[in-house]
Amino acid sequence: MTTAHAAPVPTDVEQVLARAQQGIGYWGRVWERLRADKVTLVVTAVLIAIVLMAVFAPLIATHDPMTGSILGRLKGFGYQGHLLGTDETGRDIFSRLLFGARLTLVSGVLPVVFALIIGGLLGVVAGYFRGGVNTLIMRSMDVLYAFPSILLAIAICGILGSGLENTILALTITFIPPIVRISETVTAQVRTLDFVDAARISGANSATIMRFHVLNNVLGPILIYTTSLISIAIILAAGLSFLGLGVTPPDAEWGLMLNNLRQAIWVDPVLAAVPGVAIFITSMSFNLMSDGLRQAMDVRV
Amino acid sequence: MLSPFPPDPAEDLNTTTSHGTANTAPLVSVRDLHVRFATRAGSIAAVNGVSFDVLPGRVLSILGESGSGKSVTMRAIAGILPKRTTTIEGSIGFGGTNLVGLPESQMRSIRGAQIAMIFQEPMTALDPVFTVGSQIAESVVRHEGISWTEARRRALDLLELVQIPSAARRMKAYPHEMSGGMRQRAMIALALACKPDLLLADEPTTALDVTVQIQIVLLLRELQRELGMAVMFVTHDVGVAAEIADELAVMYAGRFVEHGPAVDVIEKPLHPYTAGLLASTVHGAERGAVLQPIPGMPPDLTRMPPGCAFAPRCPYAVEACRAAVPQSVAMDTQTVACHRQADGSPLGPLG
Amino acid sequence: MSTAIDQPRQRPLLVANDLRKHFPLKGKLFGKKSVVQAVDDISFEVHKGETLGIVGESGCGKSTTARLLLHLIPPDAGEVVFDGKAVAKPDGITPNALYRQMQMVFQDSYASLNPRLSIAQSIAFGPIVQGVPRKEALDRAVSLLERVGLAPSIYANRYPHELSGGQRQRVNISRALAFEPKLLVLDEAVSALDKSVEAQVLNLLGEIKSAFDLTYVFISHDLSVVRYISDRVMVMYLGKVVEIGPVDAIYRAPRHPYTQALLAAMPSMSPRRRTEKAPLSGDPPNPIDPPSGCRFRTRCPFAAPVCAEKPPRLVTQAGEDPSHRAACHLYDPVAAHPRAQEVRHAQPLSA
Repeated sequence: MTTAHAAPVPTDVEQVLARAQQGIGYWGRVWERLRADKVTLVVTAVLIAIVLMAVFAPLIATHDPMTGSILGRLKGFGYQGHLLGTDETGRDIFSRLLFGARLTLVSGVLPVVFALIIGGLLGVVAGYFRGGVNTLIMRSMDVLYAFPSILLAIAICGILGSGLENTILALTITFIPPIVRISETVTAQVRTLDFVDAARISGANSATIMRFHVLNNVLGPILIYTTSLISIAIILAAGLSFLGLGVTPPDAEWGLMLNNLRQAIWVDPVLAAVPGVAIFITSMSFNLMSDGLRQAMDVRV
Repeated sequence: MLSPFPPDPAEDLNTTTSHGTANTAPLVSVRDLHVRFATRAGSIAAVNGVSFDVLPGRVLSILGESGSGKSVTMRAIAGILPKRTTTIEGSIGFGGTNLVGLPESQMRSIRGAQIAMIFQEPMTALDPVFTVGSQIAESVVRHEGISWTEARRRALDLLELVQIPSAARRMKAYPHEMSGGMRQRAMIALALACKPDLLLADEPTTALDVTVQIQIVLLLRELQRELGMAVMFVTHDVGVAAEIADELAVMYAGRFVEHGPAVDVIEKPLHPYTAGLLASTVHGAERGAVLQPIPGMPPDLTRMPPGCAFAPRCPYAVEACRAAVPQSVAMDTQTVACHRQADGSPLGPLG
Repeated sequence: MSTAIDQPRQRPLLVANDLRKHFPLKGKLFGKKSVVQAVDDISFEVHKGETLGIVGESGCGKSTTARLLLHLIPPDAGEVVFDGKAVAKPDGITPNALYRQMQMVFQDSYASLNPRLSIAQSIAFGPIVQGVPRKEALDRAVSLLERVGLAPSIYANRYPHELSGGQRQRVNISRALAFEPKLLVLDEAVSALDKSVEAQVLNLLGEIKSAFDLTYVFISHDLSVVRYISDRVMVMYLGKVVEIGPVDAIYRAPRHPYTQALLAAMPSMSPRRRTEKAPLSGDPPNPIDPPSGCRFRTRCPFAAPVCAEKPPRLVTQAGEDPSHRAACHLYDPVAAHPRAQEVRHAQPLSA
């Protein structure tokens, strides 16, 4: 007797075959799912719009973000062509938001990218090799972990002094430990799976196993986690500026703008809330995008 | 004779009672039960029209492979399916009350007092941060409102009932300090704390080693007889079902395909699926011979075929099988849902 | 050491010599560090073309043995000899060269496939690593898929999560076959499958064994399946070999009290012949700090003082098949077990 074919009789063989021929892969499947997820699409569009606005700020801005007016201070929406009103020195808030987006995005995204490269590498190495390497890396991270992230960022900025570069450096250092920890956990999990053993008895060396079997499977979860850090980074960067430890005046940065406008809360609370709303929308969008990504990448569900 | 484990003489089987003919009122009476789950991949038809009775003091075993809906059927009776994503239709009569659509508060009091459940993994039922003794005592206090001192005494009795050695010492043990078999016994003791009329057992022996599995099966059989409870025992293992069941129901794609006294279903199966399942269970005797497995695989529960769900894999299938879902008909001591058994020239026993 | 009589006197394909693996536990800060004695000085041979079944309960060391054979973990002591050459020894064979001739199929069909690689990629990966040109490796993958009953046009480009458990295990078998090995280690390869699918995969294993001229080491906790597939059987308990011999001898006339208990604990498969008494009580002890002497003595009905004093040797019984050996003082005249008289007249257990 021949083996009974376990091959199922799919109800739609044609469709299955077409799919196989297209060679639609894992990432194709993720893309299909992302496209079907309205919320993620909307927030991604919002984020793209914010980035474009930051990039083309000089073209879009209605006023010079640095030029103030003694007379036109703290005026409401639409005052003399000031779309979102003016701040405490009479500068156009809309234009400052556009230019501020540049610094905010840079100080929000860059530290996360740097931390991802450094922390991801350390974490994957720690998770894959275990033993002494793992102990060394993870215990050093524990030292950094001992401080709450905000305190750590403030302390580093306090020591190094204010400014954009130092903000980025401080936030990078702040984000390395959590990324290392996540990467280490995910890698250690993947490492125990049988397919890694199957690869080892294929005669593959560590570099090959790392490349085809480990990185492939840990990058997704690490990326998702990292995206969710961007919103925290934006808020932290804004917080540092707010405290006077980040970007220095008169440069436009959302946290700094929030700080300066807080005096206006008694005059025009709506006006004072504008930079806060911008921070909120941006960080929320990054969060929701990260959520959507997570769902789309979990193909098994 | 060396062996300390002589094969025992055939036990007298009390299978003559009850199937269909009993005049006792059933404890559980399930009618046309449907359970559907909403998922992103579509609606999963997990249970598709199941009807059966469980009489007081009897053991019904539901046998099926993964995805057959055996566990879902039992969880529907226990009322522990996730409310948000589950649709339940039909009725589940328990002592005269319909459990379908019953408010959670009432369900909880029935579940606590009359229906108890045990699982494959004891840690789903046992709380890791309390000692076994205090968990059982707490359950006794909750159900009987007696004093803690009294309840502790009852808990000790229960641990002795499930044959945990040095029970007094084990009262103070945390679940993780016990071995797999002992934890299983502790979970059974916890389930028995409320003196249930119905014990639902969801593959309680599947994760155990073979020498421990037989101990738990024998314990459950003994407790069932002693306490006179009805037991529903879900398993994928024909051998375990044969050890414990009075009645055996075979499930496939969310339907009972065959139901009857355990002896009859195992010795003269009427449904082609039951026959196929028994034929593909490996016995020592057929060493090296080519096995006769059921070809193919179970249907996709999101897209159930219109007729008999087994028809695509069935060697006896004819056109009629693909057209309509077969009704359960009584044949001899069993009921079977098969067009070929129901039509003019039945196939007869297939075993 | 004796070889089977019925085996032609030729060099065994695989030999395990006094393999030992102890895992240290992350100990307490003070006090003695404990070790799990997963595998403790075990020796056996596998002959070309045969199937050696390894059976035992959880913690007996059967999976560790599999990993030791494949050099996935280095042994603490002892050696694996493949085709006359010691693995990872100066004038022996490198692990990489071993992998071209010996492969493994794991229990968890999902975890043993990389979820990010397509089926064809997974199968072709090994040969590519071994230097086979990509095109040729993919061609081989496609023809192997065909061989194990999965239409390449449908499955080659699919991903593991789109397949059922049985189909994935077929893929894993193809993955191992892609090396064109001489020996396959099957570690609980059918244990996670439903019975009807298990039978399909067992048939497939039988087919490819003769088609590709393979030798199997088949590891399982399922006594029926081991009996079905094996030529010889090795029974393990807490890291030791307790009995080894031809399959019929082991199942018809088991000598070691543990083997007898294991067989007596199998469910009867018939409600007419139910098990009345569990052959053993309690769970297998923890492999951390196992009992002195014979490790089974704490559960053995024949335990005598001598059993605690020294570990038993694997011995044959006078006048019987010398390839059937048990590690029990009852059968060793040197041990002078007080109840040794009883076994002189040992009756074979009815199968």
